[in-house]
Amino acid sequence: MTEPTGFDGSPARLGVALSLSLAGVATLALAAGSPTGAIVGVLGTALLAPGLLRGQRRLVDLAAAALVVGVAVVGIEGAPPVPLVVAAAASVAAWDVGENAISVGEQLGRAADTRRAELVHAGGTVALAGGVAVVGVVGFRLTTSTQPVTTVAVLVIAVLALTAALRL
Amino acid sequence: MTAAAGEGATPTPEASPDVGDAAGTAGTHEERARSASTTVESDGEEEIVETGRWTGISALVLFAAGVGVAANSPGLLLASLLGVAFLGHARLSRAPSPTLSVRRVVDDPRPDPGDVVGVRLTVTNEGDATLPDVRIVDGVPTELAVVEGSPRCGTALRPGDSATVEYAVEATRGTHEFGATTLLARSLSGAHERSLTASVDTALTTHPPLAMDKLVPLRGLTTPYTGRVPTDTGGEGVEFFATREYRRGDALARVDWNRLARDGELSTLEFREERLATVVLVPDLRLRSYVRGDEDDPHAADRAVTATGELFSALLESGDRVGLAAIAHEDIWLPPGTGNDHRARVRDLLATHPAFGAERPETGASSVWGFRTIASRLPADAQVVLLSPLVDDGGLEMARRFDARGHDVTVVSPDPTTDGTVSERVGQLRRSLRLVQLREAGVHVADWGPDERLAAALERAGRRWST
Repeated sequence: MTEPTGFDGSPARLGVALSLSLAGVATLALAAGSPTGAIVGVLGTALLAPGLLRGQRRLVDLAAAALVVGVAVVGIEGAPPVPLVVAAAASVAAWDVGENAISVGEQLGRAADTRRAELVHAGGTVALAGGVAVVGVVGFRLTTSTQPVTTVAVLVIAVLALTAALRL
Repeated sequence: MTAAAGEGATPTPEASPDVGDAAGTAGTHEERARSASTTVESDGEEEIVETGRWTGISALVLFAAGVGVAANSPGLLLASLLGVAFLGHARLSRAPSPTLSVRRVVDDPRPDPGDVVGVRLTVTNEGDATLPDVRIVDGVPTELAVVEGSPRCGTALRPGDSATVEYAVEATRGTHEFGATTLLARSLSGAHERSLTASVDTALTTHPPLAMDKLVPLRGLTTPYTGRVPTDTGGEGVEFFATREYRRGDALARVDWNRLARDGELSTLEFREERLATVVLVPDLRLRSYVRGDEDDPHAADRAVTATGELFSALLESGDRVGLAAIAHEDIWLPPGTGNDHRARVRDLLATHPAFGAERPETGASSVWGFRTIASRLPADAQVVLLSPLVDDGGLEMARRFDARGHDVTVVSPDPTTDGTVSERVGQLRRSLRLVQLREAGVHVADWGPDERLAAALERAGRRWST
């Protein structure tokens, strides 16, 4: 009986809007890579929207998976690294912000003022994604011209070592 | 969410050390009731929830890395490295250990029923680390409805920053203690969440309205004193009752002079005596009574207490002597009495006595024990008004026992039943059977519907009783 009008635990509006915008950015980046990527990107965004509006985590996860598959497809088709990295960063950020909006909605509800928490969270995520993307692309540009094979090998080892270290 | 946090949080023993910052009012009783604050400090013992939100993403990152290797695409590997950075960030981030002070201010700690009371909860980051995600859920008393704003808020707090949650509740009868405020502090990545609870002692005390301008229909059992309950005895009074043969000593005013002139016989007029009743109000507050039909309705026990207040006031108004008892987990007995002091005492008891708490108590009372205690205290000439939802046989049994001891019993029964599901309909049916059983036993029963005013229910029932 705490809230007589009924507790509306649907995802927070601001987070939903931010997440969908990020998915849009990811789709644009995929489209810049290849037409197939654009199709997969639109599919991912189309899955994300109902998932966020209804607060269904499974759909949101599925949408993130679709966007990552889009990134993989564009990568196989041999797109340059910049759109790939941007698409990947925006996909993960869209998922992160969207999932956060769902959890904020569940815990605090629509009626509560949650803008500050959401903005800070989204800001942190975008900053991290942007920073890593810039460092990655710049590093990539500096190294590929001279030692492409080494770079690839080092990256693979780094990825595997890190994932192992993270016990995932 | 708060299981282990209760022990971890360390509320300051002094509930309101910084009460009344406003100059001059410091320490006054009124001010202490209005605002209170406490500080909670994380001591690392609280439960840290790993939200596990990043688990699924790791699979996607591995997938992208695998495809990158297979397709010999450095760009894709770079993209997956970005995913790894996210995972690493989530993995390396620690749950924050906040120190937060919580202060709650209510506009009016003693509102009237139906008043909208503003509540302001201020949470301040007293630590020296920035908290990127603080979720605040205030412990609104369970029986109070939030009518404005939301008692929850999500924010980020720099050291020294504070966030204010403002909302308003609608006051209802009784003493309503605010529960603990739940504070969730999340790391920036959202991978870890620490929950703290802060108990700020604030309460709203609302006295019931003691107002009902309608006569309560009572039964025949009365005291020897003149009052307003019509009896089946002839004597002094207003309404004609009978005539009888003149007896030596009868007042001259009551001799039927008309008849003497006509027949020459001396006879005496008798009038219906109107006497004073002693009534003891007994709300049935066993755990069984804490039921309600609709989530938004007050439970039957609360309605019974509210009705007790209204009946009390109406009976006192009509000059009857009224006492108060209850079948409740806390013993309560106020012998029948009259007067303004009595009225004030009852008003206070109904608002603050633990037996009449607005929330469902932990322990209940048994009907047999409750009956015995009350019966041993009842004056022999007292009528009993039992206020019970009659959702089990206990209420029925009590009404019968009071009746068997010679007290005239009236049952006022707030109806908590609904007809949604089959079992609810069965409950409704069984309750109406109990009403029938009581009526057959000669007990007066007023069935009080959920949206009905008490006066209307009594009016309706009173018509049935008088025929």
